[in-house]
Amino acid sequence: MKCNLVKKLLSEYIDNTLDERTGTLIEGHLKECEDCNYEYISMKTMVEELRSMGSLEAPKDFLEKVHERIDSFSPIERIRTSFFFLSSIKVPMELIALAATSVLIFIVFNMVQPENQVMVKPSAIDSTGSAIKPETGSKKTSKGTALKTQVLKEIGPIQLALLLVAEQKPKPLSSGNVRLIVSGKGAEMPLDTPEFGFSTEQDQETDQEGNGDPLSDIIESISISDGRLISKEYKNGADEPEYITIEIPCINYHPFLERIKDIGTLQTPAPDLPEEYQGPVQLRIQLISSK
Amino acid sequence: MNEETANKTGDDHELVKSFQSGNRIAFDELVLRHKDRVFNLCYRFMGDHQEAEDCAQDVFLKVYRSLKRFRFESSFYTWLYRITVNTCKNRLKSSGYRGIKKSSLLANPENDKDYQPMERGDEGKNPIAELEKMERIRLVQNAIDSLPVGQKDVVILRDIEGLSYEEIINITGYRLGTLKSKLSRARHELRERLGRII
Repeated sequence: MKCNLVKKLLSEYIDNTLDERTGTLIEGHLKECEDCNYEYISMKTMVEELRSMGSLEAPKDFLEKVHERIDSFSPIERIRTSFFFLSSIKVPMELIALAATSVLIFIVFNMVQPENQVMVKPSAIDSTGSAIKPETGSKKTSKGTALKTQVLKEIGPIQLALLLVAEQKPKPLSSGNVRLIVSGKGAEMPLDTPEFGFSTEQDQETDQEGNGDPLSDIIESISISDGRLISKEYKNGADEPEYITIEIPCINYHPFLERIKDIGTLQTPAPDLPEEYQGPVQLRIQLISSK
Repeated sequence: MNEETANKTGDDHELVKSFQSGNRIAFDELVLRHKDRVFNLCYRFMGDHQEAEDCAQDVFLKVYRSLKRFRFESSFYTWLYRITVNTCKNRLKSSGYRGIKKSSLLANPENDKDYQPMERGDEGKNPIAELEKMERIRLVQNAIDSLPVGQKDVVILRDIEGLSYEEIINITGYRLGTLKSKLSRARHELRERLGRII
């Protein structure tokens, strides 16, 4: 056994914690190596010196001083330890990190959905002159059919562009910033929201009866398809919506597409739905003037 | 057996239970039982009587605050030692304490110990031999003081307090291998520093 290794193991040799074979090897080495033996003896002497240091007594008035410290324990500290003992509970860092990540994901997820943002223009007026409000599932259509409130969870709004037939487009759309955006997953607005300047149910029904303009025809197609109008989006200064967002039961998705072909021309082919999909379908339709 | 008698004769476990059920005298009994060992341990860490006393008081103050939530996951003795070691190590690491020690050494570099410990059972012995022994103890204590905190704890617990490896592991949380290597390094350091007097 080499001297370096022996010196490294001397501490354990003194404590007698080495296995028998290693202990015997060291014992043999110490008999032959004067340098290592000297180091062993001096270390052992030092350890014995430490063990013979004895113990000290605490001052006689130690208990009284502890009492003084306890009694001088400030009231704030007492309240803290009495009522806020939960702060002393040790929570694993992994759990804290998981909770923090979940909160962060929740915040980010809710902030990055622009379709959930609402920019409201009071008294948004549609082409029929009626203010339109977002519809809810419990609202009845002009045909009295109750629509279910279903939130599209698996498929995002399908973007479509509809080039309106020229003679059916009463007014050209103007350009500018979008002033109303209400759409997207679960975008629901109350029926009676006066601060949004939306119409009454009666107004809505008037809209859906149609008066020959493309928007009324589309609304009627939505109604026939058991769907609902969720929102309209306007550009600044325009009286006609540039976008509408609607929701259609998936079973009526293709019939609805067929119906709006009579109102305008789809600029892009509408995608098919997954076969297994059973929920409602949201469509965000851009209404393009043919002029 | 009434409660007072039980507190005097009962073990730590019973005293802790008694304190947790509202008997403050049980805490006093625990202090009286352990104050010398806690004070001694603090002194070996701090190397200063006043600091050791403050530290030991801190330890029992912490015990008083936390004892109601003690769940007997370890023995009271191990828990008390763990608090003591951590309190001492934290104080040694604090910049305030380092400043005090430095200024004390600058003021009196030859004798930075303002307290010569009186050992139990010293009475009636040869005064010269006792003086020599005290001087050796002072030099050994100086050597211990000069060790890094991470080596000081193992050498104090093992060689001065005489605890087993297992007890030290329970108190410090070190692994066995870490404990052995720290102890080996600490002993080599001390041997080198005390080579002239041993």
